[in-house]
This record gives sequence, C-alpha cells and structure tokens, in this order.
Amino acid sequence: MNNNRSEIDIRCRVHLEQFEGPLDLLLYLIKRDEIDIYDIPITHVVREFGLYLNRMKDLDLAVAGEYLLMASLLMSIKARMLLPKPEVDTSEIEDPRMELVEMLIEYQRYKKLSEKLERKREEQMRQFPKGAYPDSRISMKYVQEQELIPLDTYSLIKAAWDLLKQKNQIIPGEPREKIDIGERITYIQTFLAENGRGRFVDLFVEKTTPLKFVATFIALLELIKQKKIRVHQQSQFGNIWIYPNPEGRGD
Amino acid sequence: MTEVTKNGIIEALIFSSPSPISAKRIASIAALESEKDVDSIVDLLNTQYEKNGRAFRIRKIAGGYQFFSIVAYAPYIGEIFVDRSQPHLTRAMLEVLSIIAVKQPVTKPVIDSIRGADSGGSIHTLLEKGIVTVKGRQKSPGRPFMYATTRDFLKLFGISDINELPSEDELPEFFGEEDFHIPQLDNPEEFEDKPEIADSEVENIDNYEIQEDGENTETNG
Repeated sequence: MNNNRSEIDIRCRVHLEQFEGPLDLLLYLIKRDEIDIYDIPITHVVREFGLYLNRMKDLDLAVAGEYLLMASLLMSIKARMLLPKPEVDTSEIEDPRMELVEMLIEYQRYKKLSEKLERKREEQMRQFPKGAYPDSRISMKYVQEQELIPLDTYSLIKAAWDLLKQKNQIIPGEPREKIDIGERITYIQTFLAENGRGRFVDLFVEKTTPLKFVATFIALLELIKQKKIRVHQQSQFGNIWIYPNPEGRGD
Repeated sequence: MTEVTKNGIIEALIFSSPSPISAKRIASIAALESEKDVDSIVDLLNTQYEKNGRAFRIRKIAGGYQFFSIVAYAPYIGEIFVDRSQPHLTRAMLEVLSIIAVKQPVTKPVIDSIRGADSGGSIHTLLEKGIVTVKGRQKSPGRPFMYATTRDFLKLFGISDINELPSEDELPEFFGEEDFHIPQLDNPEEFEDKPEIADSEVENIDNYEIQEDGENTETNG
C-alpha cells in the first residue's frame, strides 16, 4: 500500500506541472483510463481528479482557482446524476455530463491545433530565409563565439525520443539481452576522448536495440549527474553537443 | 547572350527581394495575366530545384514568396547562424495562439473559457512579442479587447496565409474525436451522430445510464 502510494506520488509529481489547466488534466485522465468520452464514469473521474488536487496540496503547489471550479462542476454533475430518473418522458432532459463533454471536445480541438502549430514552427525554424535580409533579426555568429544554451532534462529526453522514433536506427533485441551501463559509460567517455566533443546524435550512429539505446541514454544522464560531461545546445532545435567536463574529472 | 524569360524574371524578383514579395507585385512587374500564373511558375521552378538537388526552395509565406533553405541543411546552417530573436513559446501560449488564430478577433473571456484556465499571462507575452495584436474592443459590457494574429505570426510558423489554418467550422473535420476511446457497442451508429443530439433522438438519451451508486465498472481497466 505504501509502495503504491509513493508510486502515485511520483506519477503525480511528474504530471502535475505539465497540465495547462483542469480541462487538460481531465483529458489526461480520460485518455489514461480509456474512458468513453460520451459516457464518463463521473464518480471515478471525481475521485481521480480529487486525488490530483490533494497531491498538488501535498506538494505545496498552489491549486489554482480554476481547478477548484472544475472540482465543483464535477461534484454538481455527480449530484445531478444521483437524482432519481423521472418516470415521465426523458427526452427533454439533457445528460448532466453533456456540457462537460462539449467543453472537453472543444478544448481538445484547440490543443491539437496547438500541437500542429508547434510542429509547423519546428519545421519553419529549420528553414532559413535567403541572407541579406535588411529587417533581419538573424545575427551571424560563429560557433566559437556562440553562447551555448545549457540543456534541461526535458529537451534531452525529447531529443532521445525523437531519435528513438526514427525506426531505422533501432533493431529488435534478443530476449533477456544483457546490458552493462558501466560499459556504456566507458563507450561515451571513449567517444569523447577520441573526438574532444561530440554531437548527441553521433552517440547513436550504430544501430542499437531499444535496451542498448536506453542504457546509453542512462549512461549519459549518469555522466551528467557526476558532472563528468556537459551538454549544450547551439540554438533551439540546434545540435546538442556533449563536452567532457574538466572540473568534474577525478572526483 | 542570356535570354530573359518569364520564369527568370520571377526567380530574379523573389531572389532579390529583401522580404516576402507578393504574387500581385510579381504579376504586375512580369506582366502576367493572373496571380495564379505566379503560383504555377513557382511550382515549376521548385520542381527544377528539386530535380537538380538544390538546397533551397521558394516558399509562400505571410502572403508572399521567399527563398528558404531546405530542412535537411538546417544542422549545417545552424553552425553559422544563431537566431536569438526566436521567442520561446510555452504550451499555454501555443494553445492561446491556436484559439486566437481560429476565432479572431476574440476576447480574453472566450479564450479563458475554452481553455478552462486563465490566459492573461500568455496573452500578455504574445502581445509583447508581436505575435498577436489588439484588433479593437468588443461592444459589450466592460468593452473587452479583441485579439488577432499578426503577420509575424505567419512568418514564425511558416504559414502562407491565415486561411491555411482551419476555420472554426472546419475545426471538427481537422480534429475529430478519433483520439478518444469509444467502446464498440452493439449499435455503433449510436455514437456517430452524438455531437448533435436532436430532440427526436430519444433513443440516444435513453442510452445514458444513470448509475445509482455512481460506480461504473465498465471502464475500469
């Protein structure tokens, strides 16, 4: 039970900050539990939603008013659903959940459009307009002078995920494949010793099994944690570079 | 002696233009009958570039044409160029932007209610970065500001024209409910026309079961 609780804690911790609002949280719950949007089990949703609100409090995250508003809407729907069904013609009575369903569907549409926009933008950022651009906001700078952007874990995970999705790099693994993270750490260190610095993608040039891929990634995280390497990005969506960290050596 | 061609004129105009040049201007300079001719010649030029393995294409962006390098060469250009002006857009800002793009001009209360969350901060940042603008005020109590997207928005996202994005009416076609898990029932058509429940469809309404204890065992899994 305790175990279960802490697992939920971790799960909540990971998710809470990434919700854009109560509708986003509800959509997540609906997808996670494979709920039929047109037949939402309101008690289940109320319980799960409440669980997240409590975790927010436990984690000292300010619970924004909009979450409380949604909680009260859910409760009122639940209350209305518990009312006895009138004997008379029910065709005029709307399902109390309908309003919520419409809100969710509408929100979901804009959320998807926003994801599409994000993809368009990423693609646009990889295409450069012809130079000599008088109103240009692009400044020309050589790599050496560049201010490199330190990378957050999320971007690193995203980069790994993007690579993993390029299926041609991944070959199926054998059952009970054994992978040694220590060996992967040595691999990364050798790679850096040979090249001085290296691009993130070049760590994964060889075709790997999913397990080996993950192990290499964990090894990379471990080296970052031990401050033996530094990871920087040139620009948003630019190359991710890995550098040995001289100060971090020998400890 | 170089032969001057219509295609060449168009190519030269777009090549030398400092910012996206409109089909209208190109058509008038190159003495073309319609703006559509510009479109087809640009397509032809792009086909030639592709055939010859060139690293650039002409793209329609923010209502005009401009040369752009193709995506494949981004990592190499990234070694020289750093675009510091690129604004960082959060997921909240992208959501707000989607709503404004589709429903413009639109007020903050409408945006807030679709998102179910306050959008004040996001709108403020988008205004600051010039991605959205105030298009006027609504003639209603409180006279709230109405927001719309700018030309910079189109440039930032590589959109040729705002009509490239779905309108409010088209949105359901673009993004249906296919993402939601809908259990297969004996009568699947029951769910198909659910979004608009007509009064006559008594059957549908009856299918909503009101549980006595509120527990639903069907979807636990």
